[in-house]
Amino acid sequence: MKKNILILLSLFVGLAAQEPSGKSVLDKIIDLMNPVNARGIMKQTIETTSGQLRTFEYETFAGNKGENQLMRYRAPGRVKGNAMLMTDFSDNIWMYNKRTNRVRKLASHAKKQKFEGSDFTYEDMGSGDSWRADYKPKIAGTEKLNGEKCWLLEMIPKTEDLSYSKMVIWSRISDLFPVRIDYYDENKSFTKSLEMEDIRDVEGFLTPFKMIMKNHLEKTQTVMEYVEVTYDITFEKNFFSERNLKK
Amino acid sequence: MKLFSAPEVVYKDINDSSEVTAHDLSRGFSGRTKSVNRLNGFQLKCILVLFSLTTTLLFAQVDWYGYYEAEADYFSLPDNQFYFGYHKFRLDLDSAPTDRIRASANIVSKYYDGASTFNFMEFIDQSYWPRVPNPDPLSSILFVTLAELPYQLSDTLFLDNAFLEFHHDRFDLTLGRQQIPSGVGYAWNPTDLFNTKDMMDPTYEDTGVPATRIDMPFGLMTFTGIIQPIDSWNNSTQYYQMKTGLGRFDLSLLYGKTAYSETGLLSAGNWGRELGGINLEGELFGLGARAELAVNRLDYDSDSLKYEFIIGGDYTFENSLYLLGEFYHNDFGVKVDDTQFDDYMVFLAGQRKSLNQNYFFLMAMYPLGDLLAGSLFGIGNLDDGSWAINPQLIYNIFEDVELSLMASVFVGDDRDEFGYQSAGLRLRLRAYF
Repeated sequence: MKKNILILLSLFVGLAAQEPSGKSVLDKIIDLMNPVNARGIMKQTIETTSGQLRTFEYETFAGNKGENQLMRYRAPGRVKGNAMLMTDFSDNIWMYNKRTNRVRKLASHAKKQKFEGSDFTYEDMGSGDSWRADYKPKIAGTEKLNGEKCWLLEMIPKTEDLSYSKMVIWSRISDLFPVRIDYYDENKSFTKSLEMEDIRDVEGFLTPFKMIMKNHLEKTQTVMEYVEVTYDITFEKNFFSERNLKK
Repeated sequence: MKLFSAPEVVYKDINDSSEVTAHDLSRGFSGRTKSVNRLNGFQLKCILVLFSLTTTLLFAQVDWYGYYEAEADYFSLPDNQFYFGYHKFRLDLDSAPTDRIRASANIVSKYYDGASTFNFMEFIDQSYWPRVPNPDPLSSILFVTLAELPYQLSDTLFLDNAFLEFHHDRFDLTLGRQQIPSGVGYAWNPTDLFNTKDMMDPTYEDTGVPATRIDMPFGLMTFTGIIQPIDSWNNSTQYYQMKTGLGRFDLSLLYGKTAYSETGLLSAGNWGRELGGINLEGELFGLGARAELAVNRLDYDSDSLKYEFIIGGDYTFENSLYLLGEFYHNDFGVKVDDTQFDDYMVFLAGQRKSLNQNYFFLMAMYPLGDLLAGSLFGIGNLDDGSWAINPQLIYNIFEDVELSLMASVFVGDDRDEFGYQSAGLRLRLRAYF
C-alpha cells in the first residue's frame, strides 16, 4: 500500500514538474510573437454587421520586439499615405494624415478605440511586451484546439484601467505558440476572440499568416493576412520617429 | 486671393475668380473663407508644370490618386434662401525615384452649381451696414449706406501643391508649394502663420503655401525652419520651431515673423508681426490635453502684446463616445460693443482668426454602426452668447465613397455673430480613386 502511494505521489510530482509556470509560458509567447525586428505588408479585411467587406493594405515595421511600430497605408485611396507610429508598446501613438499633412498625438484613452473601424483596438495592435507588466498569468488547464493540445493561460489584469477584464490564451504544448486568444470586456463578458491560422516558418520564426479577430457581441470580424514578411531587417536609430512617419 | 481685399477692389471683385467654397457661403458670417489662391494665366502654368512633371518623372514610377467631391448646400437668411454647390476634382501625383527624393503635386479643379452671385450685405445685420462716399459725383448727398457688395463664385483650376523633398541623414528639405500645418489645436491654431482654419470644417485640407522648409533632428529634438518668400526679406514669413518630447507631452517652442495686414472697407493697415509661441500636446490625468500660446507684437505698437491661445482636451469613453472641447482667446478680435462692418470684412478675409475674442468649440462623436458615425459640434461666441450647432452624419457607402450630411442651426440675436442666419444644410459626397 505504502509503495502504491509513493508511486502515485511521484507521478503527481512528475506531472507537476511538467506543467510550466504561467509566467514562463507568457514569456515564451511574447518572445514568439515579437521577433526583434520585422517588416511586412498586411491586408486587413473587415466584415461588417451587414456583411459588407472593407479592405485595407498597409506596410508595417516593428522594432525592438514590438516596442515600436510604424504602419503606413497603401490602400484604399481614402487612407492611402496615412500612417501611425506607436512607441513604448503603444503608450505613445501619433497619427499622420497625408491629405492635411498633420501629425496628431493621441492620448492613451485612444488605445481603446477601434483601429480603422476594425475589430482590433490600437492596444491589440501594439501591446506586446506590456502584457508582462499589465497582467498576472496563470495556467488554467489544458484543452485541445484543432487537434492540438494547448495550455490554457489565463491573464488577469493587475490594474482596472486596462481594456480587458480577462484574456485566455491557447498556447500549443508542443512549441508554446499561441493559436487563440479570448478577450473579456470590463463587464466580464466574452467579447472577442483572435485565432491564428496558416502558421509558417519564416526565417526561423513561426508566423501566423492569417489572424481572425471575431467580435462576438457585434457579430463582426476582421481578418489580417500577411502578404509578405521578413525578419531579416535592421532599422536606423531614428527610424521610429515623427520624421519618418511623414515620409 | 482673399474674398475681400482693398475697398476699391471690392467693387470689381464680382468678375474675379476667387476660390470661395459654397460652404464658405453657407456659413455666412459664422465661419471663415479659406486661404485662397488664384493664379493669373493659370491654365498655362498648369500645362507647364504638368509637362515638366511628366518629363521629370518619366523615368520614375508615378503614383496617382485623388478624389472627386460634390457638395450641395442650402442656406437660409431671414429674407432669403440659397441653393448652391460645387464639383471638385483633385488629382495627386507622387513619385520617389530614389529613397532620398520625392516629387509631389496636385491639381484641383472646382466647378460651381446653382446660385453663384451673392450680395454680401445680405449676410449681415443692417445695423452694421456702413456709410460710404456716394459713388454718384452729381448727387448732393455725400454719403450713402452701402447696401450692395456683390461677389461671385467662379470656376477654378489651380495647382494646389507642387514640391520636391530631399531626405538626407541629417535633414529633410522641402522646396515648393506645400501644405504647412502648424499647431495642435483642433478648431483654431493661434501659432499657425500660414493658414486660417475653417472652424465649421476644421479637418479640411489647407491650400499649399510656396515656401522652403527644413527639418533637422538634434538628438531628441527637431528643428524646423520655414521661409515663405514675399517681395523682400523683411516681408517674407519666417518660422522657426524646436520640438521635443517631454514625458507624455510633445512640446514645441517657436518664433515667427511675418507681414500682417488688415484690409477693411473703410480702413486698412500693414504691419510687421512677430510671434513667440508654445505648442503642447499630450496626456493629463488620462485626458488628451493640448494647448497653444501665441504672443504677438505688431511694430506699430511694440509695447502692447497681443495674446492668442487655445486650451483643450478630449476623451474616448469605453462605449466609443468621443468628446472634444476647446477654448480660444484672441486679442486680435474685437469686443462685442466695438464690432463694426470692417471687423467682419477683416475676419472673413482670413486676416483675423476670429471676429470677437472668446470662443468655445465642443464636439461629440459616436459610431452608430460599422459604416455610420454621428457627430454633433457646436461653436460658441462667448462674448455675444451666440452659437452655431451642427449635427452631422457620416456614412461610408462603399470602400472609397463617403457621404456626409450636416445641418446647421444658429442661436443668437440678429446682431450676434451666429445669430443672423436661420439654418443651413450641407450634403457632401467624396469618392476616392
